Amino acid sequence: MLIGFGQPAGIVPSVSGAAGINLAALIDGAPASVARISGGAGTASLRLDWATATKIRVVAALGLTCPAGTILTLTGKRAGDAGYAHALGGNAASQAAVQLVDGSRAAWFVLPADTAPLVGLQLQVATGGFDVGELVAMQAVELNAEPSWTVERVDPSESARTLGGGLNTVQRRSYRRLKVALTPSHLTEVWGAGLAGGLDWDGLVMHSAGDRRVAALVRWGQEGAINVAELHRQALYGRGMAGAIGHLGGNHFEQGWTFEEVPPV
Amino acid sequence: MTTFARFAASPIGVGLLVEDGGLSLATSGSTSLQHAARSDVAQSVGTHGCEVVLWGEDDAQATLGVVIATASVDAEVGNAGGVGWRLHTGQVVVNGAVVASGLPLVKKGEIAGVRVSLSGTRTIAFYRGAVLVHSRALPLAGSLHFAMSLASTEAGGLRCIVNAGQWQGASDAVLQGGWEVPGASITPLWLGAEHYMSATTDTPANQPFVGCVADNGLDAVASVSFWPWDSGSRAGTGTLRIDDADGLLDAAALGDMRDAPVRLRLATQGATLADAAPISRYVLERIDIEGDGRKSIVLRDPHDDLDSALHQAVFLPSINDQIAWQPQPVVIGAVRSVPTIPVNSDGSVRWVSDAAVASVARVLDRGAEIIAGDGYALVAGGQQLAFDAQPVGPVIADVSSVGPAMQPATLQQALRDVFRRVRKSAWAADDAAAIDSTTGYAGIGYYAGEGATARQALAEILPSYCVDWWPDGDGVLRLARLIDPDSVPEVDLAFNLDWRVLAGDLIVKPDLAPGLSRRMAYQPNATQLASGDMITDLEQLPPSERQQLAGAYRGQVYAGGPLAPRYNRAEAAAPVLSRFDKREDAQAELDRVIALYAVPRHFYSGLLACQPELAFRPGQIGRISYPRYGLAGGRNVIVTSVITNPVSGRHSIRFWGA
Repeated sequence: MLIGFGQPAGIVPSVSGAAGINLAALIDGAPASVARISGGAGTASLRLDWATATKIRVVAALGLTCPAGTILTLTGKRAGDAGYAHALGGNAASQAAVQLVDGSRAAWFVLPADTAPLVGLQLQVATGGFDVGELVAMQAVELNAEPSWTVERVDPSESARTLGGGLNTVQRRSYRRLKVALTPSHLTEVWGAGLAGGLDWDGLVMHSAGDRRVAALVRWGQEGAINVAELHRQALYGRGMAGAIGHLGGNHFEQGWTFEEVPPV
Repeated sequence: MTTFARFAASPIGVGLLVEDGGLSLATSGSTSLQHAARSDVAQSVGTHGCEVVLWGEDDAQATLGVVIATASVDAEVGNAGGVGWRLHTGQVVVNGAVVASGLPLVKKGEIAGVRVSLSGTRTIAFYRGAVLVHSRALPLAGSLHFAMSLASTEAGGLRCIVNAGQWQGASDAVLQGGWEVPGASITPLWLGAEHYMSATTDTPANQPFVGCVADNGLDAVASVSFWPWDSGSRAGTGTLRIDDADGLLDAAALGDMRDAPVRLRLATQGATLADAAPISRYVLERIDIEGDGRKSIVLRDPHDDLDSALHQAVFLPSINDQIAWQPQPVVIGAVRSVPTIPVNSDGSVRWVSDAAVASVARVLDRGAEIIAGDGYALVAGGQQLAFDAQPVGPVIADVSSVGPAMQPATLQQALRDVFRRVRKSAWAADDAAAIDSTTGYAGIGYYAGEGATARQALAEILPSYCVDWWPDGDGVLRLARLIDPDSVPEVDLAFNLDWRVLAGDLIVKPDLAPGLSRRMAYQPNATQLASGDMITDLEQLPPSERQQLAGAYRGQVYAGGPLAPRYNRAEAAAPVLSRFDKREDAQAELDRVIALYAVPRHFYSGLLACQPELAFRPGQIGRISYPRYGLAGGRNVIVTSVITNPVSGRHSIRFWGA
């Protein structure tokens, strides 16, 4: 399981080769609020820039309105680079926008663990006009999940029965909830900075505190063999609510997580 | 509320003095024209104007015009940086040079106006009374103040008063201009119950709406109440709770967003804003900060402009110091026993109304008739009566603002007059016209002596027709009339609600009609004479007429139709006061209302939930059916109140029917 967290601070969105309206919506944590891109000559490039070089592993464009199958190309900018030409691994070279069950389209990218720290990203979309809800660029950490994890779809629609038994419903946007228990682990991964990038369980809890957005990619294939279909159907962008870290005895610990999606329009 | 410019107390030229809070200007001693007073507010765009009237013991020697902000106040208006019209010589002075002459002279008591057009090519125009006397290009740039110079031999020897739009104007200087204080420009806020972005084709295009409205938004209320019922309150206020952790509304909450118009629409996600259904309109009262993450927007009735004064003129100090600043009475339609207000020292000139009356039927001095032409004449454009001999008083007159022979105002005419006075255009004249044509009534008369508002006028005029007003989703003031729901043919029914679609039980409440009466009064007297106010000559003033003048109204009608036993109270109830002037109008209307109560009537309260697409409005007639209360076969009802939540789709609707 890959957990995306820690979107770089001070991120600045922009668009190249087209006009953009409400670009702040790209990074506001709400895929339902959209930025409108228009006027591109068959292509438009969304860009994110930030100051501190950060190792990005999960990138996603959510709430796209371009047709499914539109090709998106992700490139990076390292500190000192003049442009956004740095090629990235994984599925960055070409990823088609995927139609999801909730009616929206999205493109998810998983970059290799050895990706160089970046100060900017460019997502080139092969269409000149579209809406996009959120552009996610996150660090990520690999965790092992117990097999008994669950995903449910929460439907907050309001329904009322009429006296005659009829059903009237006000549709509300449903969202997914992923409940997962981490495989019990050792002290070094829990408090000893034993995970990739010097992170540990306790640090990850802090990174998700205050409903800061995270991404949970419970099954996505593996590095070098990304399962695009599974990645797009299961990846979830939203908030992560960490359960208590429990002591199992000795140097072994357990923890449960609940992830709730923030859905696009 | 709009506020209007006045004379500024500072800067002001030597020898001039502002009085009445800047509404009037006077000389503080012997002074020449080489000083000026100017307005407190400058204008740089648009069309603006004001009117002045001079009075005092001295000869009229004054200059009216506009000046730039840096023009000296110790120079005549029209000197460097100004354009002035010398009212006493008929000259126009621009930057110190006489550029035109031979304009008509303006005497004391006459209205002089100035109007500037500042958008595009700048022009200035001068008016005497309603007549344009001169216009020319305006060679001044930047923002302009209106300004006035007065010359007199003694303190208070010459005074002038300015009307910058707060009262009705004589000319286009005020009618098409006015010198109002510009409202602060506000940045619009776009909020939604969900995030939403308008389409490229919409106005505004590509506008993001921030989805921060919490708790299902608010309930929109539209309700009507008619005179036989308890008068229900029309709660047009609401509170909108906002989740605002990001501080989006911080600046708005602390800034000056008060009185901004608020528009509520129901849009479908993914559809255009142009297709959104209007829900209601409000005016922003204030934004309360409840905490870091919560604010509430307090909204009020969009029709609070109905609380503006109906009077469009006051008696100026130049007429008579004793009645200075008193609002002039309002006469709409045919009004009986209008009191006349003496405006000269011997009472031989008496004021009737703030607008010209069309005809005067009878004038009575202490109840004794004075003959038109012989004893009095309508003068001053139809606002005053001039008498050949001093009347003793009280002097009352039967007048009509509409036409000859005491012609009453139709509902449409009356409402047009009311709304014109408060400058309100968002009302449905078609509704009023439809009621006029359905009823065929000649109409009503309305009189307001002092301190009346448009809301009070509506509350007095509309019940005569058994009509009430309600605000529709676009904020337009609409009219609904109480009619027999069974009189509407099947094909015209607006809805057919079966009990099976209701979300809750139908609640029935009997209509006890506490206000119902078998008697209706008509021809209300604007003023009642006491017995000591009238002559004792029974030849000139027969006892029956004496009684008419002393009462609150001249006549009443009785409806003898059958009433359901429940409404026995109506047999002995005091007459309901109507504003009708014709006996047959009152008789027809009362017969109609009594006929409505020949059968016991009921209110039905129904609830619909989770159906945001439904829209009910007061006055609609439809059919409901329910297994109990004798409604199994269905019954026609009229909608009297609707409380709608557009987000949750919950509607509480009250119907009225048999």
